Amino acid sequence: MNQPKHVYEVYIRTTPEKLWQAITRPEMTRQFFYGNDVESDWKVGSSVRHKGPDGKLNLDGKVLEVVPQRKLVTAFCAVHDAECAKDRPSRVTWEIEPRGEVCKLTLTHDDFDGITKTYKQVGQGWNPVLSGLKTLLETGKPMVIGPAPAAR
Amino acid sequence: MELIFKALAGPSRRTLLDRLFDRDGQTLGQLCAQVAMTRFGVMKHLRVLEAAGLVTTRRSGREKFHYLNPVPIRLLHDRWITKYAAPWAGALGDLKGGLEEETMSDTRLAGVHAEPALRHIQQIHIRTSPERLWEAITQPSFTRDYFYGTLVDSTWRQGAALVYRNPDGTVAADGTVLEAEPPRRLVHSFSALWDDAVTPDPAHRVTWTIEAMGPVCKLTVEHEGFAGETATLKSVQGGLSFILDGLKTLLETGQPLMSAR
Repeated sequence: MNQPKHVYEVYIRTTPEKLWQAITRPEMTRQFFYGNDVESDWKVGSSVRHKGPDGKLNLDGKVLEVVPQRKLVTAFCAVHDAECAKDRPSRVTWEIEPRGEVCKLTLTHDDFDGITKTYKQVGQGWNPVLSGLKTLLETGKPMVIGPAPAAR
Repeated sequence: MELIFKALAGPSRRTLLDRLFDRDGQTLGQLCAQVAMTRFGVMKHLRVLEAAGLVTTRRSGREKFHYLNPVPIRLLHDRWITKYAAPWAGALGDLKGGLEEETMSDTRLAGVHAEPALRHIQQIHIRTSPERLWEAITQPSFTRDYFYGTLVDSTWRQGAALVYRNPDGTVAADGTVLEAEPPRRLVHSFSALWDDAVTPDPAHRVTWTIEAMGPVCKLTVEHEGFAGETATLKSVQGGLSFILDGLKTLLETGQPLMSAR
């Protein structure tokens, strides 16, 4: 049986260096990752924390594997949500493949214990993050998602 | 949006959605056989679901087939996530009640998915207006810069033909416009003709849904109604990200994602 997982592919006109920086530096992540600053020394075994503008810890994780500019694997626990916080940490893998003038980024979120609350929530959560990352790298400006218009 | 809530408030209508979730594309007779309701009752409830956009229909000869359309539920879901702007917020969680199965189908949204679902749904957020996004989807001067170099051609009226032509004039894909509601929603059939592997596959259905969120549009593209794990489905799973990322780059930077064509 297939284990549940989410896989996203994004083609971005950028270099592996810039893409790596965008994923690993707080001054970049705060511009596309729901305003969160990432904190880590990016050594295997070190913690990876995503903190909101108010300093609140939203995502707590650990570095599992690092190949700079190519691959980053972290444990993922959405501690901001009481129910998700109970799920065993899942796994997020970022893979960067240069393809001429663009990079192909593949994000895989897996190692869930079945269809968990975390699995259901992140299915929606990654789309705006990855769209925002692409906009930031290609235009130099963050993508600000506004409120939906009133009911039609 | 009120229509959606009203439609979902009825347990009989949720049962009908459940049956369509089990098997998409059923006739009135097939649905009646599975529920403890009169034929008239089922017809009445289907009309409410159709008015709310939760069910779409397609005629084939004397038969009318009913299809589940999860997009409005997804829009509802996303609306509350955006409202609270919280990371991974699942604010609809408490509301969903009997909608567990529909919510499950939402997870197929997640781009390329591990489960063998006979549909492929992807979402992308683009900094543009609904009008400009609609133009980019429907005009050849845009499609040639992101849709594998093809030029799209159609009047975009319901029932009109649509064709994606290669620069050499050969046809890469064609279809028929089923619904067009500029600049919000476009539904068309789609026959892939770009190589020998995909050409024998029957046509499937493509739905483009545009939702404005301040200065950004959320575009949801759904390919569904595949006859199985066809060559066309595999091709769509492998190629749609590239098309949508190219569309986003073109609209946000004015340049194609790949400069060489």
